[in-house]
Amino acid sequence: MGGEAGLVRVESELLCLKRETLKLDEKIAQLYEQWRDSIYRYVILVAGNFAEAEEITQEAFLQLYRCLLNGKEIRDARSWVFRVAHNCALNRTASRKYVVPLDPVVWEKLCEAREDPALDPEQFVLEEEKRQRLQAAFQQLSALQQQCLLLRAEGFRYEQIAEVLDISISNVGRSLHRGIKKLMRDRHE
Amino acid sequence: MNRRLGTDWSNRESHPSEEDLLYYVDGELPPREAASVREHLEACWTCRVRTEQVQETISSFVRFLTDSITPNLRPPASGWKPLNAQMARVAAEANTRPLLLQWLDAWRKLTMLWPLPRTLTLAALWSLLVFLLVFRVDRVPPVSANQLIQNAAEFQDRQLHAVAQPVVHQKLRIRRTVAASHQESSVAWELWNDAGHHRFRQQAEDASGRRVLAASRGAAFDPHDWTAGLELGDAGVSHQTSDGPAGLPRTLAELTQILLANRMDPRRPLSAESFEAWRESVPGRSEAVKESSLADGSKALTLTTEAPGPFRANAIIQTQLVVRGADWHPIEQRLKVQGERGILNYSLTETAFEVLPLSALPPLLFADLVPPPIPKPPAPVVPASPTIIPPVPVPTPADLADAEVEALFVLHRAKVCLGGRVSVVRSDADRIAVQGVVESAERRDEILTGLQSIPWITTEIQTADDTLSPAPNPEGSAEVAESSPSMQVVTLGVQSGKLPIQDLLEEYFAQGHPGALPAPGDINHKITELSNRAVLLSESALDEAWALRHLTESVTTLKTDDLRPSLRYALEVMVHDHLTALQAQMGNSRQLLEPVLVALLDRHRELAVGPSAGNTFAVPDSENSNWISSSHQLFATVEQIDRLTLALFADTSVPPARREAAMQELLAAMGGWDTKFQDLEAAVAKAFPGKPGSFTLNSPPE
Repeated sequence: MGGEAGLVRVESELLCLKRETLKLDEKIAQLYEQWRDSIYRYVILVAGNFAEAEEITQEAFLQLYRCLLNGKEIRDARSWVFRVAHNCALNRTASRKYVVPLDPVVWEKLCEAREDPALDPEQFVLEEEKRQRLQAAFQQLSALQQQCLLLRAEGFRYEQIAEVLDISISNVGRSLHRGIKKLMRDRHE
Repeated sequence: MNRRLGTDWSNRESHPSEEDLLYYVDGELPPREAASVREHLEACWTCRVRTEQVQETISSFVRFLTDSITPNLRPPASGWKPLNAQMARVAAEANTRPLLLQWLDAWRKLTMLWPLPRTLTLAALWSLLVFLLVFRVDRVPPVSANQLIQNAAEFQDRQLHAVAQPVVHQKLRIRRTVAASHQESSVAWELWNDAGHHRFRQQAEDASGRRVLAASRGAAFDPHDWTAGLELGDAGVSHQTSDGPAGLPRTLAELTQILLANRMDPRRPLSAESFEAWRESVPGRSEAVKESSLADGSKALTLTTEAPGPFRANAIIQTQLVVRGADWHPIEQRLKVQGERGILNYSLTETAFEVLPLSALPPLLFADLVPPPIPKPPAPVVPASPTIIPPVPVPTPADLADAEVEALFVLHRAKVCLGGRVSVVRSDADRIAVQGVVESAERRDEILTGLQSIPWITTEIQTADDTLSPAPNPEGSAEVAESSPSMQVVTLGVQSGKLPIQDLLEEYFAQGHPGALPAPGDINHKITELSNRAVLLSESALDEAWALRHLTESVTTLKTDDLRPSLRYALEVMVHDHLTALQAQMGNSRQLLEPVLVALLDRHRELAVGPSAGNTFAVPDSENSNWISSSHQLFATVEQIDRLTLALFADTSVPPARREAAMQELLAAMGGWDTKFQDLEAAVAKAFPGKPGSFTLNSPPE
């Protein structure tokens, strides 16, 4: 999920070419290609915002571009873009009360099982049962627990998750633990 | 159960909590705690099983995301919209938004990073409104030093682009004050800068009348032109050699030397670019931007930059650049300079500025500059009194290395680094020469513009038309032609004779291998197409390999550790670009030719190609990996592939008896390519060790 290969190179080029607006455009466009899918996915999963997910993703990158143009210092660009996308998604959700985080019907659609030719019918039924239990368990987690788990699965370390969600590192650890604990319990029920 | 920080788990009395185990598997425990948990797990079966349960839950969750969620979450139905147009809009808006909107932007950014409750947001907006009503808000927004310079440069750039064949006409009033004695002198300086043709004209005026000073043509700046102009008195310049009452020629000559010594451009003395060139050369500078009012009541911004001491003679101690608030146009620059006998103050105040089309100027203005400049004899410059006129600055080896890499990068970005049409060489101890031939005057101007701001560079770039003119430089032309692989004239196709493998190819295509059967008349066309593509790919690969080797040779003479970090990155970018392009060209070439050659050889001789022709993976020999030898070996391989490709697909004089050997050699050379490429990649990786994962997107490292 990371897409981190070549990232250091891109960032290095940003360092040396930042003053040239044209080159900065190109580098931001590269980062956009690398990260947009995971940000888009995250926005939908945490805010249920299908309609505006693309716009929010683009807005996050434009903010990055604007800040770099203004000579701002950004220590960890990927966390920064996720943070902007996260806040943007939640702000929009809050301002439109009729939008709620993914409802069960959408979840069902999202988690729709696919035929796996490698599994025989009996195995498929067993796997499907497990998947449904996990889905139900995940839906019952708090929003913070879901966000922490999704960001951790995107490869972020606790410190970066804390930065994206603007919470303490210990809060990240606690949320992850509770989330994992619930998933584990429901998985073994 | 909460984590118990600092607990030693190595004894088996107590067990780590589940949260501890999660921290442990996520690698988030401090090293000592992690070690004690590891020791505990080795001994405790129960905890090991609990750890496995945590791991299994994580695995199931990740599988759930990747197998169930991700495939159902496709990108937007209409596909991703490109970001370029929106970025262009952002860049355009950045300088033109009213203050109030800029504040609102800042507020939006703030709330994106720290979302606030709506009531607090409304309260804050209400406070802002009250503030705006109480205080005037038409003030020019304070900006950072970087932003101020960038805005000024962009504004001037836009002005130049708005006029066809722009000529900048500028009038300045120069004032010089000696701090200790309060002695003051001044001169009116008028400049015409023909940016498109790199021509420059200037004149000065004092009580004794109008004086035409030196003119120059070409991107490289020769200080002799200027000081010689003063000394030789092109149009009545007085031969002042000491401080006179007016001191005019000396004032200008001294200022010119000061600007040069500080990397500023005397042809554009009051410009953001010239200021930035000095500013960039001053590490550890301190800066401040302040608002002020001009005489007409309009707003201005003053950027004050101070250099850290100690100061050598002629070093700038402090500068102040004043720009108009309305359009970022620089209108004044004040310099505080370390003279040999005290502090000197200069002010350059603009009294007129306009950008005119060349056609609007009298034709005689640059008339004597149309032909290439005749080298002037090394006339003595203004006889220098020991206190005032310093010698022309001499670059350090590090300065020259920086300039060389910057020049290479300009050529790389202009894509003239391939084929050796333009090269960068050390012309003498203190200059880097960029010389060669390009296809058009526009191309030449583009390159000269890129090189303009690089110090210690001389240029000698001709167009193809120039080289055909009656008086070319035969030595230079021969040298360029000899050094350039792309200058080799290759006759493509099979029109004039038969290729050595013509009959094999005819049979190959006639039998419809590997695709559909071609019509008989198409066979020759297919052979020509294959040959042309094979030769084209091979020549392109050779150009890339040549550029890589040339870059390597240039780089190994430099001490790369002494380069500025940004230039090391530029170097890395260039090498990476050539490696990537070379790999792509060679991959395409192999994809095209290997199946054909194998089929032809199999048909006539049951010949096993041997393991070297396959896609065997070879471990690079890192012991022997180094820049020079790896790039030379790679170049030799590409050259051999090119020679054999030409022999088989473009040369009609190769005897058929040699063709099978040539095919085998070509296959073997292509098979050996991987190893050579990996060797060079390893050498490159060694030369540019990777940076750690964290990074900073701040100002360029200097």
